[in-house]
Amino acid sequence: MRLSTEHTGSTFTAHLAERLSFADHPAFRTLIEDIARAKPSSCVFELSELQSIDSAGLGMFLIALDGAKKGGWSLTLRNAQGHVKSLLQLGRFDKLLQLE
Amino acid sequence: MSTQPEPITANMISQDARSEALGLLSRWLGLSEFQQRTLGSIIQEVSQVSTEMQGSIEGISGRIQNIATRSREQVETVRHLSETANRVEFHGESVPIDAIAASLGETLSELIEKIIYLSSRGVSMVYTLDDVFADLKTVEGSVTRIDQINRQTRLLALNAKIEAARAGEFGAGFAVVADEVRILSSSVDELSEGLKNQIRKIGAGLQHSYSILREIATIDMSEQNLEANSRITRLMEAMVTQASETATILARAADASGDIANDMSATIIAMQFQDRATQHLDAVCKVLDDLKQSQTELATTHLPALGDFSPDETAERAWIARLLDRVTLGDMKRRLIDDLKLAHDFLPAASTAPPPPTNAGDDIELF
Repeated sequence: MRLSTEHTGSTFTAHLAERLSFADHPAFRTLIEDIARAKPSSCVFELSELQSIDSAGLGMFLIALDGAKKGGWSLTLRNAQGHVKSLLQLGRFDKLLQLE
Repeated sequence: MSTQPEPITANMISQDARSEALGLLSRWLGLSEFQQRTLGSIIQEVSQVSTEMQGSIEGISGRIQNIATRSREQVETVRHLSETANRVEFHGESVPIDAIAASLGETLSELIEKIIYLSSRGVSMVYTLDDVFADLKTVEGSVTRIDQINRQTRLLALNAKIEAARAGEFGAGFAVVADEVRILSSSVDELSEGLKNQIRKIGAGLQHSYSILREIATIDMSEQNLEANSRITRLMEAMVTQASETATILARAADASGDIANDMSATIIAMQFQDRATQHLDAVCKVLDDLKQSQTELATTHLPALGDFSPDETAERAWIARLLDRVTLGDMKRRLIDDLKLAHDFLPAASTAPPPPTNAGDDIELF
Protein backbone atom coordinates (compact mmCIF):
# COMPACT_ATOMS: atom_id res chain seq x y z
CA MET A 1 0.00 0.00 0.00
CA ARG A 2 1.14 3.52 -0.75
CA LEU A 3 -0.16 5.92 1.89
CA SER A 4 -0.25 9.69 2.28
CA THR A 5 -2.21 11.72 4.81
CA GLU A 6 -3.31 15.29 5.36
CA HIS A 7 -5.02 16.94 8.30
CA THR A 8 -6.98 20.05 7.41
CA GLY A 9 -9.18 21.64 10.04
CA SER A 10 -11.29 18.92 11.62
CA THR A 11 -10.91 16.52 8.70
CA PHE A 12 -8.22 13.88 8.45
CA THR A 13 -7.76 12.51 4.93
CA ALA A 14 -5.80 9.36 4.10
CA HIS A 15 -4.99 8.57 0.45
CA LEU A 16 -4.71 4.81 0.05
CA ALA A 17 -3.20 3.65 -3.27
CA GLU A 18 -2.19 0.44 -5.08
CA ARG A 19 -3.10 -2.64 -3.01
CA LEU A 20 -4.34 -2.98 0.57
CA SER A 21 -3.65 -6.47 1.97
CA PHE A 22 -2.66 -8.32 5.13
CA ALA A 23 0.98 -7.26 4.74
CA ASP A 24 -0.10 -3.65 5.30
CA HIS A 25 -1.50 -4.22 8.77
CA PRO A 26 1.41 -2.57 10.66
CA ALA A 27 1.18 0.57 8.50
CA PHE A 28 -2.61 0.59 8.87
CA ARG A 29 -2.33 0.32 12.67
CA THR A 30 0.02 3.28 12.67
CA LEU A 31 -2.49 5.18 10.52
CA ILE A 32 -5.31 4.50 13.03
CA GLU A 33 -3.06 5.65 15.87
CA ASP A 34 -2.15 8.82 13.92
CA ILE A 35 -5.84 9.57 13.37
CA ALA A 36 -6.62 8.95 17.06
CA ARG A 37 -3.85 11.37 18.04
CA ALA A 38 -5.10 14.02 15.58
CA LYS A 39 -8.59 13.84 17.15
CA PRO A 40 -10.49 14.90 13.98
CA SER A 41 -14.31 15.08 13.81
CA SER A 42 -14.29 13.32 10.47
CA CYS A 43 -11.94 11.06 8.58
CA VAL A 44 -11.97 10.32 4.85
CA PHE A 45 -10.24 7.38 3.16
CA GLU A 46 -9.67 8.48 -0.43
CA LEU A 47 -9.68 5.27 -2.51
CA SER A 48 -9.61 6.50 -6.12
CA GLU A 49 -6.09 5.05 -6.62
CA LEU A 50 -6.66 1.86 -4.65
CA GLN A 51 -6.62 -0.86 -7.30
CA SER A 52 -7.23 -3.99 -5.25
CA ILE A 53 -8.02 -5.18 -1.77
CA ASP A 54 -8.26 -8.53 0.02
CA SER A 55 -10.46 -9.60 2.91
CA ALA A 56 -7.84 -8.46 5.45
CA GLY A 57 -7.88 -5.00 3.83
CA LEU A 58 -11.69 -4.89 4.11
CA GLY A 59 -11.37 -6.14 7.70
CA MET A 60 -8.99 -3.25 8.42
CA PHE A 61 -11.72 -0.81 7.35
CA LEU A 62 -13.90 -2.38 10.08
CA ILE A 63 -11.05 -1.92 12.59
CA ALA A 64 -10.86 1.74 11.50
CA LEU A 65 -14.64 1.94 12.11
CA ASP A 66 -14.14 0.52 15.63
CA GLY A 67 -11.52 3.23 16.18
CA ALA A 68 -13.94 5.87 14.85
CA LYS A 69 -16.63 4.76 17.30
CA LYS A 70 -14.16 4.84 20.20
CA GLY A 71 -12.63 8.18 19.15
CA GLY A 72 -15.94 9.85 18.23
CA TRP A 73 -15.05 10.61 14.62
CA SER A 74 -16.97 9.74 11.46
CA LEU A 75 -15.48 7.57 8.71
CA THR A 76 -16.11 8.01 4.98
CA LEU A 77 -14.83 5.79 2.14
CA ARG A 78 -14.67 7.93 -1.00
CA ASN A 79 -14.24 7.31 -4.75
CA ALA A 80 -13.78 3.53 -4.65
CA GLN A 81 -13.39 2.14 -8.17
CA GLY A 82 -13.93 -1.17 -10.00
CA HIS A 83 -13.12 -4.28 -8.00
CA VAL A 84 -12.80 -2.36 -4.70
CA LYS A 85 -16.17 -0.67 -5.26
CA SER A 86 -17.84 -4.05 -6.05
CA LEU A 87 -16.49 -5.60 -2.86
CA LEU A 88 -17.63 -2.66 -0.73
CA GLN A 89 -21.11 -3.06 -2.23
CA LEU A 90 -21.16 -6.85 -1.75
CA GLY A 91 -19.93 -6.42 1.84
CA ARG A 92 -22.73 -3.86 2.36
CA PHE A 93 -20.39 -1.26 3.83
CA ASP A 94 -23.11 1.31 3.05
CA LYS A 95 -24.97 -0.01 6.11
CA LEU A 96 -21.96 0.62 8.34
CA LEU A 97 -20.41 3.90 7.23
CA GLN A 98 -20.54 6.63 4.61
CA LEU A 99 -19.76 5.54 1.04
CA GLU A 100 -19.25 8.35 -1.46
CA MET B 1 -131.68 -9.49 -72.99
CA SER B 2 -129.02 -12.14 -72.48
CA THR B 3 -129.67 -15.83 -72.66
CA GLN B 4 -128.25 -18.43 -70.20
CA PRO B 5 -126.02 -21.18 -71.83
CA GLU B 6 -127.62 -24.54 -71.80
CA PRO B 7 -125.94 -26.99 -69.30
CA ILE B 8 -124.03 -29.87 -70.80
CA THR B 9 -125.57 -33.25 -70.18
CA ALA B 10 -124.26 -36.80 -70.66
CA ASN B 11 -126.43 -37.18 -73.77
CA MET B 12 -124.77 -34.17 -75.33
CA ILE B 13 -121.23 -35.75 -75.08
CA SER B 14 -120.26 -37.55 -78.24
CA GLN B 15 -118.76 -41.01 -78.21
CA ASP B 16 -115.38 -39.66 -79.39
CA ALA B 17 -115.24 -37.14 -76.58
CA ARG B 18 -116.04 -39.87 -74.04
CA SER B 19 -113.26 -42.07 -75.40
CA GLU B 20 -110.87 -39.17 -75.24
CA ALA B 21 -111.88 -38.37 -71.62
CA LEU B 22 -111.50 -42.03 -70.59
CA GLY B 23 -108.07 -42.14 -72.27
CA LEU B 24 -107.07 -39.04 -70.38
CA LEU B 25 -108.36 -40.53 -67.11
CA SER B 26 -106.55 -43.76 -67.86
CA ARG B 27 -103.23 -41.94 -68.41
CA TRP B 28 -103.80 -39.83 -65.32
CA LEU B 29 -104.59 -42.84 -63.17
CA GLY B 30 -101.60 -44.72 -64.59
CA LEU B 31 -99.33 -41.85 -63.80
CA SER B 32 -101.03 -41.32 -60.44
CA GLU B 33 -100.11 -44.83 -59.38
CA PHE B 34 -96.46 -44.20 -60.19
CA GLN B 35 -96.67 -40.79 -58.58
CA GLN B 36 -98.08 -42.37 -55.39
CA ARG B 37 -95.25 -44.86 -55.33
CA THR B 38 -92.78 -42.06 -56.08
CA LEU B 39 -94.21 -40.00 -53.22
CA GLY B 40 -93.95 -43.04 -50.92
CA SER B 41 -90.34 -43.48 -52.01
CA ILE B 42 -89.62 -39.77 -51.47
CA ILE B 43 -91.20 -39.92 -47.99
CA GLN B 44 -88.93 -42.89 -47.18
CA GLU B 45 -85.89 -41.02 -48.53
CA VAL B 46 -86.69 -37.86 -46.53
CA SER B 47 -87.30 -39.89 -43.35
CA GLN B 48 -84.06 -41.79 -43.88
CA VAL B 49 -82.11 -38.56 -44.48
CA SER B 50 -83.72 -37.03 -41.38
CA THR B 51 -82.78 -40.06 -39.26
CA GLU B 52 -79.22 -40.23 -40.63
CA MET B 53 -78.77 -36.47 -40.15
CA GLN B 54 -80.04 -36.69 -36.58
CA GLY B 55 -77.70 -39.58 -35.80
CA SER B 56 -74.71 -37.91 -37.46
CA ILE B 57 -75.28 -34.56 -35.80
CA GLU B 58 -75.75 -36.17 -32.40
CA GLY B 59 -72.46 -38.01 -32.99
CA ILE B 60 -70.69 -34.81 -34.06
CA SER B 61 -72.19 -32.89 -31.11
CA GLY B 62 -70.98 -35.59 -28.73
CA ARG B 63 -67.46 -35.47 -30.16
CA ILE B 64 -67.39 -31.68 -30.06
CA GLN B 65 -68.65 -31.83 -26.48
CA ASN B 66 -65.74 -34.16 -25.67
CA ILE B 67 -63.29 -31.78 -27.35
CA ALA B 68 -64.76 -28.84 -25.37
CA THR B 69 -64.46 -30.82 -22.12
CA ARG B 70 -60.86 -31.81 -22.91
CA SER B 71 -60.07 -28.20 -23.86
CA ARG B 72 -61.40 -26.97 -20.51
CA GLU B 73 -59.31 -29.60 -18.71
CA GLN B 74 -56.33 -28.47 -20.78
CA VAL B 75 -57.01 -24.86 -19.76
CA GLU B 76 -56.82 -25.86 -16.09
CA THR B 77 -53.65 -27.91 -16.65
CA VAL B 78 -51.89 -25.18 -18.64
CA ARG B 79 -53.00 -22.48 -16.18
CA HIS B 80 -51.55 -24.57 -13.35
CA LEU B 81 -48.31 -24.97 -15.32
CA SER B 82 -48.29 -21.24 -16.02
CA GLU B 83 -48.72 -20.44 -12.33
CA THR B 84 -46.02 -22.91 -11.26
CA ALA B 85 -43.53 -22.18 -14.08
CA ASN B 86 -41.78 -19.41 -12.15
CA ARG B 87 -42.02 -21.06 -8.72
CA VAL B 88 -40.22 -23.96 -7.05
CA GLU B 89 -41.13 -26.13 -4.10
CA PHE B 90 -38.67 -25.53 -1.27
CA HIS B 91 -39.12 -26.97 2.24
CA GLY B 92 -42.82 -27.50 1.54
CA GLU B 93 -43.32 -23.91 0.37
CA SER B 94 -43.92 -22.59 -3.12
CA VAL B 95 -41.25 -19.95 -3.61
CA PRO B 96 -40.96 -17.62 -6.66
CA ILE B 97 -37.71 -18.06 -8.62
CA ASP B 98 -36.96 -14.33 -8.44
CA ALA B 99 -37.20 -14.57 -4.64
CA ILE B 100 -34.66 -17.42 -4.75
CA ALA B 101 -32.37 -15.31 -6.93
CA ALA B 102 -32.69 -12.42 -4.48
CA SER B 103 -32.14 -14.83 -1.59
CA LEU B 104 -28.95 -16.16 -3.23
CA GLY B 105 -27.64 -12.59 -3.63
CA GLU B 106 -28.57 -11.93 0.01
CA THR B 107 -26.80 -15.09 1.12
CA LEU B 108 -23.67 -14.16 -0.84
CA SER B 109 -23.64 -10.70 0.73
CA GLU B 110 -24.09 -12.20 4.18
CA LEU B 111 -21.22 -14.59 3.47
CA ILE B 112 -18.96 -11.75 2.40
CA GLU B 113 -19.99 -9.70 5.45
CA LYS B 114 -19.02 -12.62 7.67
CA ILE B 115 -15.71 -13.08 5.84
CA ILE B 116 -14.91 -9.40 6.29
CA TYR B 117 -15.89 -9.51 9.96
CA LEU B 118 -13.75 -12.63 10.46
CA SER B 119 -10.84 -10.93 8.71
CA SER B 120 -11.21 -7.83 10.89
CA ARG B 121 -11.16 -9.99 14.02
CA GLY B 122 -8.11 -11.79 12.63
CA VAL B 123 -6.25 -8.52 12.09
CA SER B 124 -7.31 -7.35 15.59
CA MET B 125 -5.86 -10.56 16.98
CA VAL B 126 -2.66 -9.91 15.05
CA TYR B 127 -2.47 -6.47 16.65
CA THR B 128 -2.94 -8.10 20.07
CA LEU B 129 -0.18 -10.60 19.24
CA ASP B 130 2.05 -7.70 18.17
CA ASP B 131 1.48 -6.21 21.62
CA VAL B 132 2.29 -9.57 23.25
CA PHE B 133 5.44 -9.77 21.10
CA ALA B 134 6.42 -6.30 22.32
CA ASP B 135 5.82 -7.33 25.95
CA LEU B 136 7.82 -10.51 25.39
CA LYS B 137 10.68 -8.42 23.98
CA THR B 138 10.57 -6.36 27.21
CA VAL B 139 10.69 -9.56 29.28
CA GLU B 140 13.57 -10.82 27.14
CA GLY B 141 15.37 -7.49 27.78
CA SER B 142 14.76 -7.88 31.51
CA VAL B 143 16.25 -11.40 31.48
CA THR B 144 19.29 -10.06 29.61
CA ARG B 145 19.62 -7.36 32.26
CA ILE B 146 19.39 -10.05 34.98
CA ASP B 147 22.23 -11.92 33.22
CA GLN B 148 24.35 -8.78 33.23
CA ILE B 149 23.67 -8.18 36.94
CA ASN B 150 24.37 -11.84 37.68
CA ARG B 151 27.72 -11.64 35.87
CA GLN B 152 28.63 -8.61 37.98
CA THR B 153 27.49 -10.50 41.12
CA ARG B 154 29.75 -13.42 40.19
CA LEU B 155 32.67 -11.05 39.68
CA LEU B 156 31.94 -9.46 43.05
CA ALA B 157 31.87 -12.90 44.71
CA LEU B 158 35.17 -13.78 43.04
CA ASN B 159 36.74 -10.49 44.22
CA ALA B 160 35.37 -11.10 47.73
CA LYS B 161 36.91 -14.58 47.71
CA ILE B 162 40.33 -13.14 46.66
CA GLU B 163 40.13 -10.47 49.35
CA ALA B 164 39.11 -13.08 51.94
CA ALA B 165 42.16 -15.18 51.01
CA ARG B 166 44.39 -12.15 51.51
CA ALA B 167 42.88 -11.51 54.94
CA GLY B 168 43.89 -15.04 55.96
CA GLU B 169 42.26 -16.44 59.07
CA PHE B 170 40.19 -13.27 59.55
CA GLY B 171 38.69 -13.58 56.08
CA ALA B 172 37.60 -17.22 56.36
CA GLY B 173 33.97 -16.33 57.19
CA PHE B 174 33.87 -13.85 54.36
CA ALA B 175 35.11 -16.56 51.96
CA VAL B 176 32.16 -18.75 52.95
CA VAL B 177 29.74 -15.89 52.14
CA ALA B 178 31.51 -15.34 48.80
CA ASP B 179 31.05 -19.05 47.94
CA GLU B 180 27.35 -18.87 48.82
CA VAL B 181 26.94 -15.78 46.63
CA ARG B 182 28.63 -17.65 43.73
CA ILE B 183 26.30 -20.60 44.25
CA LEU B 184 23.31 -18.23 44.26
CA SER B 185 24.62 -16.59 41.06
CA SER B 186 24.80 -20.02 39.40
CA SER B 187 21.18 -20.66 40.40
CA VAL B 188 20.16 -17.30 38.91
CA ASP B 189 22.04 -18.30 35.73
CA GLU B 190 20.06 -21.54 35.51
CA LEU B 191 16.82 -19.67 36.16
CA SER B 192 17.71 -17.08 33.52
CA GLU B 193 18.51 -19.80 31.01
CA GLY B 194 15.14 -21.46 31.76
CA LEU B 195 13.35 -18.15 31.29
CA LYS B 196 15.11 -17.57 27.96
CA ASN B 197 14.07 -21.04 26.79
CA GLN B 198 10.45 -20.37 27.78
CA ILE B 199 10.52 -16.97 26.06
CA ARG B 200 11.84 -18.64 22.88
CA LYS B 201 9.04 -21.23 23.03
CA ILE B 202 6.38 -18.55 23.62
CA GLY B 203 7.86 -16.53 20.75
CA ALA B 204 7.73 -19.58 18.44
CA GLY B 205 4.12 -20.29 19.52
CA LEU B 206 3.14 -16.68 18.87
CA GLN B 207 4.84 -16.79 15.48
CA HIS B 208 2.86 -19.92 14.60
CA SER B 209 -0.39 -18.26 15.77
CA TYR B 210 0.53 -15.23 13.70
CA SER B 211 0.85 -17.41 10.55
CA ILE B 212 -2.51 -19.04 11.23
CA LEU B 213 -4.16 -15.65 11.74
CA ARG B 214 -2.67 -14.44 8.49
CA GLU B 215 -4.31 -17.39 6.71
CA ILE B 216 -7.63 -16.68 8.44
CA ALA B 217 -7.58 -12.96 7.73
CA THR B 218 -6.48 -13.23 4.13
CA ILE B 219 -9.18 -14.69 1.91
CA ASP B 220 -8.87 -14.41 -1.82
CA MET B 221 -11.27 -11.82 -3.13
CA SER B 222 -9.76 -11.53 -6.55
CA GLU B 223 -11.65 -10.36 -9.58
CA GLN B 224 -11.94 -13.98 -10.79
CA ASN B 225 -13.99 -14.83 -7.68
CA LEU B 226 -16.10 -11.72 -8.12
CA GLU B 227 -16.61 -12.66 -11.77
CA ALA B 228 -17.89 -16.08 -10.61
CA ASN B 229 -20.40 -14.27 -8.42
CA SER B 230 -21.36 -12.06 -11.32
CA ARG B 231 -21.90 -15.18 -13.50
CA ILE B 232 -24.18 -16.70 -10.85
CA THR B 233 -26.14 -13.45 -10.69
CA ARG B 234 -26.50 -13.31 -14.48
CA LEU B 235 -27.48 -17.00 -14.57
CA MET B 236 -30.18 -16.42 -11.97
CA GLU B 237 -31.43 -13.38 -13.87
CA ALA B 238 -31.60 -15.49 -17.06
CA MET B 239 -33.52 -18.21 -15.18
CA VAL B 240 -35.98 -15.65 -13.82
CA THR B 241 -36.49 -14.16 -17.30
CA GLN B 242 -36.95 -17.56 -18.90
CA ALA B 243 -39.39 -18.69 -16.22
CA SER B 244 -41.36 -15.49 -16.71
CA GLU B 245 -41.45 -15.97 -20.52
CA THR B 246 -42.52 -19.61 -20.09
CA ALA B 247 -45.31 -18.54 -17.76
CA THR B 248 -46.45 -15.93 -20.29
CA ILE B 249 -46.43 -18.46 -23.16
CA LEU B 250 -48.36 -20.99 -21.06
CA ALA B 251 -50.88 -18.32 -20.07
CA ARG B 252 -51.38 -17.56 -23.78
CA ALA B 253 -51.79 -21.30 -24.48
CA ALA B 254 -54.37 -21.50 -21.67
CA ASP B 255 -56.25 -18.55 -23.18
CA ALA B 256 -56.14 -20.22 -26.62
CA SER B 257 -57.49 -23.48 -25.16
CA GLY B 258 -60.21 -21.47 -23.41
CA ASP B 259 -61.13 -19.83 -26.72
CA ILE B 260 -61.28 -23.28 -28.38
CA ALA B 261 -63.56 -24.58 -25.60
CA ASN B 262 -65.83 -21.54 -25.98
CA ASP B 263 -65.92 -21.94 -29.78
CA MET B 264 -66.80 -25.61 -29.35
CA SER B 265 -69.64 -24.72 -26.98
CA ALA B 266 -70.90 -22.14 -29.46
CA THR B 267 -70.67 -24.76 -32.25
CA ILE B 268 -72.76 -27.22 -30.21
CA ILE B 269 -75.41 -24.53 -29.71
CA ALA B 270 -75.30 -23.65 -33.41
CA MET B 271 -75.82 -27.34 -34.32
CA GLN B 272 -79.18 -27.36 -32.58
CA PHE B 273 -80.58 -26.29 -36.00
CA GLN B 274 -80.90 -30.04 -36.46
CA ASP B 275 -84.04 -30.07 -34.26
CA ARG B 276 -85.72 -27.49 -36.50
CA ALA B 277 -84.56 -29.30 -39.64
CA THR B 278 -86.04 -32.59 -38.36
CA GLN B 279 -89.35 -30.86 -37.57
CA HIS B 280 -89.41 -29.32 -41.07
CA LEU B 281 -88.65 -32.67 -42.70
CA ASP B 282 -91.39 -34.38 -40.63
CA ALA B 283 -93.85 -31.70 -41.80
CA VAL B 284 -92.73 -32.22 -45.41
CA CYS B 285 -93.25 -35.99 -45.03
CA LYS B 286 -96.76 -35.43 -43.65
CA VAL B 287 -97.69 -33.10 -46.55
CA LEU B 288 -96.30 -35.61 -49.03
CA ASP B 289 -98.23 -38.40 -47.30
CA ASP B 290 -101.43 -36.34 -47.53
CA LEU B 291 -100.79 -35.82 -51.23
CA LYS B 292 -100.28 -39.55 -51.66
CA GLN B 293 -103.47 -40.37 -49.75
CA SER B 294 -105.44 -37.84 -51.79
CA GLN B 295 -104.19 -39.37 -55.02
CA THR B 296 -105.01 -42.86 -53.79
CA GLU B 297 -108.57 -41.76 -52.94
CA LEU B 298 -108.98 -40.05 -56.32
CA ALA B 299 -107.68 -43.15 -58.14
CA THR B 300 -109.98 -45.45 -56.14
CA THR B 301 -112.96 -43.21 -56.89
CA HIS B 302 -112.33 -42.97 -60.66
CA LEU B 303 -110.96 -46.40 -61.45
CA PRO B 304 -114.39 -48.03 -62.09
CA ALA B 305 -115.13 -45.42 -64.80
CA LEU B 306 -112.25 -46.76 -66.89
CA GLY B 307 -113.86 -50.05 -67.81
CA ASP B 308 -111.68 -51.83 -70.39
CA PHE B 309 -109.30 -48.95 -70.96
CA SER B 310 -105.70 -49.96 -70.49
CA PRO B 311 -103.02 -47.46 -69.43
CA ASP B 312 -100.78 -45.70 -71.93
CA GLU B 313 -97.53 -47.52 -71.25
CA THR B 314 -95.54 -45.33 -73.63
CA ALA B 315 -96.38 -42.15 -71.73
CA GLU B 316 -95.72 -43.89 -68.39
CA ARG B 317 -92.29 -45.11 -69.49
CA ALA B 318 -91.39 -41.65 -70.75
CA TRP B 319 -92.42 -40.06 -67.42
CA ILE B 320 -90.53 -42.66 -65.37
CA ALA B 321 -87.45 -42.31 -67.59
CA ARG B 322 -87.43 -38.51 -67.07
CA LEU B 323 -87.90 -39.05 -63.33
CA LEU B 324 -85.07 -41.53 -63.02
CA ASP B 325 -82.81 -39.33 -65.11
CA ARG B 326 -83.19 -36.59 -62.50
CA VAL B 327 -82.09 -38.93 -59.70
CA THR B 328 -78.29 -39.07 -59.72
CA LEU B 329 -77.64 -40.97 -56.47
CA GLY B 330 -77.23 -44.67 -57.30
CA ASP B 331 -78.68 -45.99 -53.99
CA MET B 332 -81.67 -43.70 -54.19
CA LYS B 333 -82.23 -44.64 -57.83
CA ARG B 334 -82.19 -48.37 -56.97
CA ARG B 335 -84.62 -47.88 -54.06
CA LEU B 336 -86.91 -45.81 -56.33
CA ILE B 337 -86.92 -48.56 -58.97
CA ASP B 338 -87.81 -51.07 -56.23
CA ASP B 339 -90.60 -48.85 -54.85
CA LEU B 340 -92.01 -48.29 -58.36
CA LYS B 341 -92.05 -52.10 -58.68
CA LEU B 342 -90.12 -51.89 -61.94
CA ALA B 343 -87.91 -54.51 -63.44
CA HIS B 344 -84.26 -53.44 -63.16
CA ASP B 345 -84.03 -53.61 -66.96
CA PHE B 346 -86.94 -51.16 -67.25
CA LEU B 347 -84.60 -48.39 -68.36
CA PRO B 348 -82.12 -48.53 -71.23
CA ALA B 349 -78.74 -49.94 -70.22
CA ALA B 350 -77.13 -46.48 -70.02
CA SER B 351 -79.68 -45.31 -67.42
CA THR B 352 -79.96 -48.45 -65.29
CA ALA B 353 -76.31 -49.44 -65.18
CA PRO B 354 -75.12 -49.39 -61.57
CA PRO B 355 -72.68 -46.58 -60.77
CA PRO B 356 -69.00 -47.51 -60.78
CA PRO B 357 -67.68 -48.58 -57.38
CA THR B 358 -65.88 -45.93 -55.35
CA ASN B 359 -63.51 -46.15 -52.41
CA ALA B 360 -66.20 -44.79 -50.09
CA GLY B 361 -68.65 -47.51 -51.17
CA ASP B 362 -72.03 -46.37 -52.40
CA ASP B 363 -73.03 -44.39 -49.33
CA ILE B 364 -71.85 -41.01 -50.54
CA GLU B 365 -71.38 -39.73 -54.01
CA LEU B 366 -69.17 -36.76 -54.58
CA PHE B 367 -70.31 -34.14 -57.06
